[in-house]
Amino acid sequence: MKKLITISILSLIFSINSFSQRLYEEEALEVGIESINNFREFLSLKNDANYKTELEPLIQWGIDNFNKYGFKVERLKTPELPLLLASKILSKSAKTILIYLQFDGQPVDKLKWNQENPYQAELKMYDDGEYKSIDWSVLKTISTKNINDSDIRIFARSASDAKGPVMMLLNALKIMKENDFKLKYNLKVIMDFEEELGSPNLTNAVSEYSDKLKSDALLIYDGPQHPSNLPTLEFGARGISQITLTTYGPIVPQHSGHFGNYAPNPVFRMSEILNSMKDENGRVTINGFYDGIDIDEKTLEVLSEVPDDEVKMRENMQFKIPDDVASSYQESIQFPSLNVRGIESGWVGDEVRTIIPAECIAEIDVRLVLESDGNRLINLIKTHIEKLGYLVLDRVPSKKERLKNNKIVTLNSSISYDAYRTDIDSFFGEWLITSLKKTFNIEPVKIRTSGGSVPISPFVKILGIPAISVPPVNKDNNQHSPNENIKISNYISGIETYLGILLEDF
Amino acid sequence: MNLYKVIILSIITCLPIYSQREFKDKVYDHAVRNMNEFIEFLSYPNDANFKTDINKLITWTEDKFNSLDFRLEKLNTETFPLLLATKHINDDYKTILVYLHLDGQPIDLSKWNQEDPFNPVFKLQENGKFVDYEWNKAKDLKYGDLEKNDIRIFARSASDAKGPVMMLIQALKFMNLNGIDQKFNLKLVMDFEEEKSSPSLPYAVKKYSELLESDALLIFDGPQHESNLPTLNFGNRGISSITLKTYGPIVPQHSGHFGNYAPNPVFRMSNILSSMKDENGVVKIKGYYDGIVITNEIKKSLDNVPDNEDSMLDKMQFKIPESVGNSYQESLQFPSLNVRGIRAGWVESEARTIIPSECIAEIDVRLVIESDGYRLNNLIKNHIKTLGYVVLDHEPSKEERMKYDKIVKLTSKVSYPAFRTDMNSDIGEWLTNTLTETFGVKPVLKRTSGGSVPISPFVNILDIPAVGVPTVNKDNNQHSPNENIKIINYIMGIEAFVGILSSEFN
Repeated sequence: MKKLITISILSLIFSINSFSQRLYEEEALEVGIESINNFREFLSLKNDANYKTELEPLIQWGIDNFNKYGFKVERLKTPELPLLLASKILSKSAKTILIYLQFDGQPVDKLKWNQENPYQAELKMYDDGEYKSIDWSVLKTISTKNINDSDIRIFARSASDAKGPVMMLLNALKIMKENDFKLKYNLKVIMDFEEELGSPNLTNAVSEYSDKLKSDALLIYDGPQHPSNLPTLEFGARGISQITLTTYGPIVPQHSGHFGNYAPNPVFRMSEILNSMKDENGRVTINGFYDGIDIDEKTLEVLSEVPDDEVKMRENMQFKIPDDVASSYQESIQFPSLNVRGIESGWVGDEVRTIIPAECIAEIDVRLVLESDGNRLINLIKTHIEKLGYLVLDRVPSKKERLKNNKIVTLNSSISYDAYRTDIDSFFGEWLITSLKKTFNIEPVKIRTSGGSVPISPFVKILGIPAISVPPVNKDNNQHSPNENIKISNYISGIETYLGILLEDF
Repeated sequence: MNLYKVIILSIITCLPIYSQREFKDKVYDHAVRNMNEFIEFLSYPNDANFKTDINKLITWTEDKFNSLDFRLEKLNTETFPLLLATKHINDDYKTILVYLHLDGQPIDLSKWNQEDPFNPVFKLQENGKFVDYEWNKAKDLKYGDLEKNDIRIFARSASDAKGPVMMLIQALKFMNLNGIDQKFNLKLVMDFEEEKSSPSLPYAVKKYSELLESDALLIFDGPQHESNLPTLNFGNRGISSITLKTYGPIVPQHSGHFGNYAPNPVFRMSNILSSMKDENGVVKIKGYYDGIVITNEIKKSLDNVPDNEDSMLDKMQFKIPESVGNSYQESLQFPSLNVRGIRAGWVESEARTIIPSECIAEIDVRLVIESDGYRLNNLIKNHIKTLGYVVLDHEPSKEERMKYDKIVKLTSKVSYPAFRTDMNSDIGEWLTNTLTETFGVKPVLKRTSGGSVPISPFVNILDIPAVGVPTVNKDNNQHSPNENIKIINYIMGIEAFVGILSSEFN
């Protein structure tokens, strides 16, 4: 019986292979297109974790859909939203792979979307310089032959980040089930519902549930492929910490006529602080910020193998000169960043008012690398601001403090997660490279460190396992911005990728 | 002629048939009895961004002044009309033009401590806090109670500047009811887009200069001196505005994937802003303060203003003022450079991990008569150029973005220049005497008030001197949420206007 199945599988694989260089494309396409209604329903479930009570249907969806494929699903409780753990155990002696998925999404600024409802997916095709809505029935006309002829995408919040990858895995499991393919190792899937909030409860949960989560390696199914849109593996990701700075002017906004030249302006204060942190080429000037990072010859070679087209990147983003932190894009990611993601004070545009604002808020994020401890960097920044003559508080100043100190800043910081990095030459690394090579008949792009952050370090540190990301979505997906989308071709190839991994002996 | 003067003198002496106390009490009774009229007026929305609201307000105003025997004319402009209300007594009298504005600042509802800023609320200050006060139950209050209790009306434009308009209406009504004669011909020019910097006023003053012809201009707007003593303003700073925009990637980028690579527009803006001022708030741009000389005589008149700077600092809760002038009054003799708003990305609960695509800063520059607005704007523009920026007046094209590393878009507008009238001029002395008689105390004489009123077209085109007669309390939250007027200021404003209207001007 078992032998017969194996033979039929082999013949099936063989037949796909004879039509295409890609091992599973036909089946992935068929199942992928079939799954679109389920995907649309999934995309319609609200997933902004700032509104916790809205997420229960999403959690239930996760439970139901993994139950379908014979997984045991349990809620791992945390003080806020639970994690879900879905397990399919073959035997205790088999190796276990843990897959990390993220269900929640970025907040939505509806006004900036080119569609009515970011939770109601729209199918769009690139045509004459813009993405135009098309009917969903167009999907039925897609074949392996024409899939790359046109740029068709699904637009919705979390289409790429990261409901898309969830669907890809489910589709891969569906193909396994329909074809009666057998898992080659124990599989555990951990589902996070607070990733976009910085997964505040993950570290504690991984500690608390470390027995349940025990496994031999971790795969992260999230993030965009290399811009070349070739199959990609990421062996590390930067961590992330954030700082909120607030500077102060008059206690309430004052009329800029009556008090201009008299009441201190919090925007000038903030500008002074921010400007002092970086030189005009974007390089952090705070002493010690880049300490400990050594890019040796071998590393440089690995970085240079990544087929980046920086000229095109700059043209896409429309700027002339990148920040001068390193000599290439890949190299720049090996360093911690210091980014102002938002600043606000007073009002601008039509809302503008002739006032001296009462405060100025700047939101900073610092991406961490393995060599840079988040606490150390935050302390460097804090000390740097103190050297500019500021009293640095971790709360709003009292009246007494305001009258006693000329320059005050409130600094609040948090470290969401540290960086991680797995050796490309490790057993786990080579296993994945082999799997992707088989599936796509091409060498995957190997990224030493990805710029974005995934909350992986708790797994790496607490469970003591290596981690590698297998990002499937298109780079130009507007992740974290309005008009997020996923290319249909990526949706399909992601299914192939995950199927290939499920079928690879570990 | 002689006979005529005698008659006039006897009329003047009509007024003092009341003792000062009696006069005050009568005005007080009148004001309280007619308080509903003020409340009704305050309930008319008056944000000049909303045309239908302004049209209703115009109709209300026409009806009101018609009922006070004024002749009304609409002075049409390309935007909203001005209203001219004329009450001509006789040809031998001089004519005084009074400037009023009826529109108000835009509203950010969420920041008000009341449901609707156009539904006025009475509040009493108790232990530093404003608590709701039932005005209807306060019928027995006496004048002296108001001097002891800080009761205010909270509503948009309560002070800026529906308050002064209603003071004038009540002064005219009071004079009608008590048979007090108006001692000069009166023209009222009413502006409905002052908070939008009166875009059509210069044009209108030119076009309607014959209708507006008069001997002097009084401006009934703005707060009294901090001491809340009767005040005369002999000048106002002008205002011009600049909007700056810096650029990062063409659309916001994920701060992980592109932090250290895509330039951040907030750092660019910080670089520009922090280069403009030193840390004490003094503008570093060369030539910015050129032409301003504070002589000993000027210094003396500035020092005569009874400022309590310690109390100002205490109220606004900061330790050290900007060091442009040696005193508050002196600081107002110089042009300012204020960032009234800045925005990029999102902050607080809306924060997103992105590199923003642009940063907008809104600047206002208050002008003095020695500083030409165009000259200052050019100084600023050239200053930014010396920082290595290409300064455009339009959104950069892709070509421009790829060609230039550092780009800023600068748009600027000079709304109105400053004006200043000699304190020793005829109108200056007449007003000083009138207020001294009305209140039994010499008014505070301010050489230049910090705020701007669109007066220079009158001064320049009609060639008449102008003086401001501010009436409202300084701490009125003008241009901010929770705008208010003290009832005592409202009453004293009516007294001041009765005093002026019934005093002969030669």
